[in-house]
Amino acid sequence: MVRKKKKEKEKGVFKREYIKYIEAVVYILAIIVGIFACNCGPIFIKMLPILFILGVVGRIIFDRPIVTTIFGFITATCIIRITGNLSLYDNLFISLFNSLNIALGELFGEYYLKSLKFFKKKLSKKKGAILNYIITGVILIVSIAVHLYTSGNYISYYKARANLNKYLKEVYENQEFSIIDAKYTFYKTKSYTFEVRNKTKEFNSNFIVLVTNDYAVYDEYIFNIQSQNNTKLNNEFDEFIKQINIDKDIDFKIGYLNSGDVKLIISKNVESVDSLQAKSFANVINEFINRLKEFKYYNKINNIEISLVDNGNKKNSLVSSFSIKDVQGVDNLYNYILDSFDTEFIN
Amino acid sequence: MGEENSNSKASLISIIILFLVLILISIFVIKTLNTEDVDTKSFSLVNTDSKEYIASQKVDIDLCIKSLNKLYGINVMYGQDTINYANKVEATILTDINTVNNNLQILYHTLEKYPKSMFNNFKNDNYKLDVILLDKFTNSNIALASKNSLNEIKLYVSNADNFERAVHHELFHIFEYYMEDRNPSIFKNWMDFNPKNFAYKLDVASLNNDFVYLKEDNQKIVNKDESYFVTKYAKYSDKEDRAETFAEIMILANTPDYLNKQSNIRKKVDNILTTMNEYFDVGNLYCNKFVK
Repeated sequence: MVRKKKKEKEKGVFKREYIKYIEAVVYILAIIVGIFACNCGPIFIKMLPILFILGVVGRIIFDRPIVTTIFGFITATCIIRITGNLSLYDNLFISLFNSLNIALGELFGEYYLKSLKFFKKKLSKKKGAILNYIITGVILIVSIAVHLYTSGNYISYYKARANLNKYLKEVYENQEFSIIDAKYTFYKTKSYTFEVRNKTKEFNSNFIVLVTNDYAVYDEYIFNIQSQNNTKLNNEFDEFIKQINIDKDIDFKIGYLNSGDVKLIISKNVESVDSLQAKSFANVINEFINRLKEFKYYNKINNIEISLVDNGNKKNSLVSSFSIKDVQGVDNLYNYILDSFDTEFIN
Repeated sequence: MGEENSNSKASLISIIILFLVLILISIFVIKTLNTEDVDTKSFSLVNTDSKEYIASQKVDIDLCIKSLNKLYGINVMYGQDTINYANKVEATILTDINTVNNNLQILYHTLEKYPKSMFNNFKNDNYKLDVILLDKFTNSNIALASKNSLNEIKLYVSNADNFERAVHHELFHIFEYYMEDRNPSIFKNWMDFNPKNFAYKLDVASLNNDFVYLKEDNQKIVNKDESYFVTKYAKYSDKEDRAETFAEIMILANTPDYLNKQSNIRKKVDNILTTMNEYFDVGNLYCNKFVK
């Protein structure tokens, strides 16, 4: 009889231990899955307060305060390291924010349990209980704010998405796009980076919608197109220069302004700049600009920058720039170029 | 016992949160205070060159340049676009987009101190105004202004601590260019405001602190009746004197004693503003509130 009782007791202890282990595995899996979903999942999942809930559950259901935060931090560091190509510092930074969200969840859980105790004991009107309720509310508000700041929210996401769709319709009228995924960034600038599939031309490109810049769209695709067009323009221009017989000492090349406008850079290096050199250079430029109208892509050139560089003393170099529009209305281009060189400086 | 246990758990979690918050604040502080003497790359906790960050900076820069062009008719250039100009004025180009953005914001707020109508005069009379943002001059310059025979004006300004003051200084030269084009003897009585027998010296090294209000060691002149120049550099030439005086009053926060009605510098300020008023609508100019 005693032996039977002992056996049953041992069985009960074993069962409790067994359940404890299963509970621990579930708890650890919840942390791993939660952290993974928040760092690698689709944006709709990332925007859910999973880490906060993880903290609350870790405290209320599993009763493991602090451990969830520490485990969360370690798990986040490992997952970010494995799945992303981020530097150690970036990794630490993101992991710290992950664990901050969990810790806030744990703290909320702790105060929630205390509030519940007051409520059950019907001590709600006591001064300590009221203070406890207030603290619980404040923690919840802070947690929501931190989550929204670090993970984005559905309102700003849909606003960003709508702005991107509007932009795509305006800029690429006849092309079809579909959004594949998005990523939220909060450090220094709040933005959503959308990975977009161009169905018409069959390739993917990134578009960044900047929340902090009034949902402005930064288009990486347009830069790709520009660089492709620029290569074509450069090749055509090189051909054009070969065709026209012009001073071989003058360097002609196509450049681009920060605004994306095309500029023609004309430069010549001389030992020292004098008025004769300047006049001769202005004469060649005058002839060249007149012939430039024959260039197939003349209309694509917006600016011309000319410089006669003094190798002996750069200070004596002559530099000027003008828009094609300015030049078109000029009667005597030769004098115009010389006038543009005639510059007075003051400190 | 249970209550105590719960309280200690809560305080432990709070300490963890506090720890995390403090670590994050420290990161931000280190990032903010981090200057040239520390290797920025090795200290950087977050990649500030991230695509999103660069995109944000570029959008800011683009917007600011467009606004400056729309509001004041000013064309701003920076980076590789300015390489030939930088070589010409012995300076290096400014390529760091953070600095470009920062300087553009300062430029924007600097120009807000002027009535927009002042710049309309330039537009209406076919003056072209370009601002070229540079990194630094290889000589002792901070900023420069130039004008060619086509009335194309360029303001070269480097990334210096006194960026705003330098812009005001050069802008005055530009305003003076405009006024001189209409009346070459515009400041013909300027020497009357200087001490007797005073002559400007075109040699910066030989300039001393005599008659200077703001001395280089930041000590102000005690007797304001003895001060005629706001800075030592103002003694270089009449043009620099006017530009220095103008720049100084455009960055004031409070009315200084050298602007008292009877002071010598005040007479110069009055002369500058009265003259400017003949050519520009200076009614809402920032410095007016100090010279009532």
